Amino acid sequence: MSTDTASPRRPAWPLRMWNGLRRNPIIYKEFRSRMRQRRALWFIILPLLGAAGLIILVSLTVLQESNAADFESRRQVGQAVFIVIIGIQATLAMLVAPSISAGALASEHEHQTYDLLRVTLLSARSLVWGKFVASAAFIIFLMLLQVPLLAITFLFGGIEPAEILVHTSVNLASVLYFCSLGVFISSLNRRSLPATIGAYVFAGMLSVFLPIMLLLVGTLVFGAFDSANLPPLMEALMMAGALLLVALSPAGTMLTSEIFLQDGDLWYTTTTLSNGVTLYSPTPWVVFLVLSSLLTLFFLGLTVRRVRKKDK
Amino acid sequence: MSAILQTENLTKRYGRGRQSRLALDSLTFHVEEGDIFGFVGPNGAGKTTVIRILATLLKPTAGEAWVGGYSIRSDTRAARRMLGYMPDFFGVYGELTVREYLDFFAGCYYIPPRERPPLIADLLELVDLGHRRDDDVDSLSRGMKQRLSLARTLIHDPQVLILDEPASGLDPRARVEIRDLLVELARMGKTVFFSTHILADVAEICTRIAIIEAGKLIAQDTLSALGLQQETPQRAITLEVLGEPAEAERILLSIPALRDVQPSPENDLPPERSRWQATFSGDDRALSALLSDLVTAGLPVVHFSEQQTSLEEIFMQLTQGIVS
Ligand SMILES: Nc1ncnc2c1ncn2[C@@H]1O[C@H](COP(=O)(O)OP(=O)(O)OP(=O)(O)O)[C@@H](O)[C@H]1O
Ligand SMILES: [Mg+2]
Repeated sequence: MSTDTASPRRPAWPLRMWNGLRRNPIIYKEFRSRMRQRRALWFIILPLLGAAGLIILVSLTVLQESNAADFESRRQVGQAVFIVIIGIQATLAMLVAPSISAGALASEHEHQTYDLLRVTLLSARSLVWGKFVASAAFIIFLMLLQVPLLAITFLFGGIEPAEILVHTSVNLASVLYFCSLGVFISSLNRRSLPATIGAYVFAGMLSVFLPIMLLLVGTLVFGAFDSANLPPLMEALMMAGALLLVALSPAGTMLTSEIFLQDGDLWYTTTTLSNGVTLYSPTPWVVFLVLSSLLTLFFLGLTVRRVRKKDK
Repeated sequence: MSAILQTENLTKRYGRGRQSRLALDSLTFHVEEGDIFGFVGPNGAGKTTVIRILATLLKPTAGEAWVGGYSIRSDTRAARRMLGYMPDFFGVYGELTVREYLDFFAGCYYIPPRERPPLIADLLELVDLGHRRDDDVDSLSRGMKQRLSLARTLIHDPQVLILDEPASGLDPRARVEIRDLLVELARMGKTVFFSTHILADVAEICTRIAIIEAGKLIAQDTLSALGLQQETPQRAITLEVLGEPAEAERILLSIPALRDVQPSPENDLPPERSRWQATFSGDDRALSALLSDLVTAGLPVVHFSEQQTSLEEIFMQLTQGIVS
């Protein structure tokens, strides 16, 4: 009798992954101890206070300049509130996620528990993924706290479902991206403080410094050509370059995606090159989702490898 | 009886090039199932290095080690299942209670959640921490943390416990408690391997020991074979006798129970007296019999005293000359 027929069928990978996460002791432990820290309270209260304050400020400013009953100005208030909430969520993703995740492995060294974990049956992959999921889940939890405020925007109107889709998915993707980056930096440090600083510097390099450098290089390269009659291939390359450049930073992605949305382009956009060929390209947020997901997996893979190697 | 821990030419070099330091030099020893094995050596001898290698946390530069027959190089996971490791530091999470702490590590060994509460209750009872189960781990005393650590090492019912200085930094009472626990664990069928530089611990509970110094193994054997057993202590005898030193020496050398007979180097005695030193092993009854033997043999004894050789002295004798 073959063992294959005797053993139960291996479940599909999403189920296996879910089971793996459910059995992962790290996630539960992290959440429990995180919520017991006094810091957690501030992480919960401050963004809410900030959002409430900004919403009141913005609404009053808009309403002062126009008539409250006026349909258009109500839409404006709705949009302003939306921007505030998305902005706060983006801040959580870009500024809080790296610092939360940078403590992931470094703090185990600080507590002198790293060896205790490594000597158990917990694999390097479970450790890294557990830390990653725990820190991302905490940020997403903080973001969810903002959702009731989002309801206000529906009262006022002026927000398209497409906008919600774009900004929410970009925010979620950047949480994952920055958490994976933070966990990676965490595996290079034995102390939380240098890890946190390192994570901010690295995140800044990737989403601010790198696009600026690319912009400079791009301007130099394409500046050598006569911009009026660029060869079509160059035009296409320039478009692709600009897209990538924008999609390296979540903020850039959100701003440009908004512009495309105004033109009604949600998933893709078309440009006509000088030779009459129509170029189809994905909108920046789609590129960002793909790019950041790949980078997230890359950083996590790198971290797992590092943790495995540290055993030696 | 089979070896549950075994090393073969275990060598560890920290660092590379000229800055490197040889911490372990071709260490070969084994621990048998059921042993309470003391791993003894002065500071910096390489005890922690050996323990971290056996616990699969450090890869040796050369040589091999097996835990329960599984290679720490190639069968890491199987080896980890066999061993419980306690480092020479605590490693606690401030925000967890005693019970949650053990529950977390049970999770790390994939013990099903249903089985954990009774298991944890049993372990807490074993280490006498049941009454503190809902307290923060941070609020425990040093001795309690050490006992909690011991409970943690037991959570997956390992065959062999590898403990780095389990008694260091504890007051005498806590030390005795830990010692009793180790004996209890051995009775439950666990093999206990622990490092220490407290020789009294070794003498009281170990079945076998190994002595390491500057990365080299000096001895591994049972306590009695190494002369460390407290039941048959080595005794240093000092004698003062009257008369001709040559005559005294002849009589002293004729007593077989006396060894290492030699004149005392001090020379503060009146000319008619001579002082001698010798070693003797035996209990008090044998000692008093020795005195009567000496008198019967015609030796005019005017002073007879003994000083029990401390474990430390024997240890110093065994390790002398190898000090780095
Ligand atoms: N990570 C390291 N890097 C470089 N050298 C090290 C390292 N760890 C230990 N050593 C050196 O290896 C030697 C053995 O150290 P080890 O910690 O194993 O000794 P030990 O017997 O446990 O000492 P103690 O009784 O003080 O705990 C020492 O000379 C030490 O300086
Ligand atoms: Mg040590």
